Amino acid sequence: MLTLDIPLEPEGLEAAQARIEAFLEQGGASERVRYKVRLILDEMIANLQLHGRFDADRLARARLRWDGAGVQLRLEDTAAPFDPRATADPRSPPSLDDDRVGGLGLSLVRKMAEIRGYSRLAEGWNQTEFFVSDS
Amino acid sequence: MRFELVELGPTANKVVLVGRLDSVTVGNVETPLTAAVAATGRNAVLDLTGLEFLSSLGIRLLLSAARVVTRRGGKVVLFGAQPMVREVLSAMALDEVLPLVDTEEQAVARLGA
Repeated sequence: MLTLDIPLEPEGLEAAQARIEAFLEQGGASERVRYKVRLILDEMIANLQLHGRFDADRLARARLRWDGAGVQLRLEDTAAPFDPRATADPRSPPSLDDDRVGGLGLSLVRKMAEIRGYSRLAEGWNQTEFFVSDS
Repeated sequence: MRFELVELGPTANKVVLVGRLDSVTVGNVETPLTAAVAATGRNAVLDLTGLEFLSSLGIRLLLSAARVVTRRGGKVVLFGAQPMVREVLSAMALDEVLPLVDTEEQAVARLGA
């Protein structure tokens, strides 16, 4: 199991991604799983950086468990309550005629991982559980 | 993330993308990459063979650059995507908006189609 803080700035995120990559590679996770986990992290943290509302410290942390068939990923952050399961996918796929390309990130997350749960913890943290399979 | 611009002829450029195009890198290449892809009056093929990682912010950048080209009457074709990059493009149905082919020859041929 790997637990780590995720700094909400580019250099810190890249360093965290490198640690996660090394952890999964050592455990024998496939390139496909490692790509999907990197993607979930990138999309969720970018979402926090761009849209997260923070009343207190801007904090995020991750816990990963690799069981040979997939990765259980728990992400926690101190932003305002946000359940990623509650957002709708864009009504239509991207288009060259349409400047509205919002919602791509979460839509991609839902296609690459199963969102197994969301809780708002009493201490003011969002907690989201993902499962990233090797299939 | 880095990219290289190669002139293929009087009407087309090739832009070679290498590395990861994600939330960490997109801000560094957004302006120069858009300028390279959208060079006035030219079509563009984007070489994705060296692109190791693509996230939604990268997709947004590719769409934005391609939009400038098409509004000027040009075409953009992608080629050589690695399997997971191809899967991401396909998952977002981007391959229906921007043609994605296997080789540079196919991409250049597609520009003339």
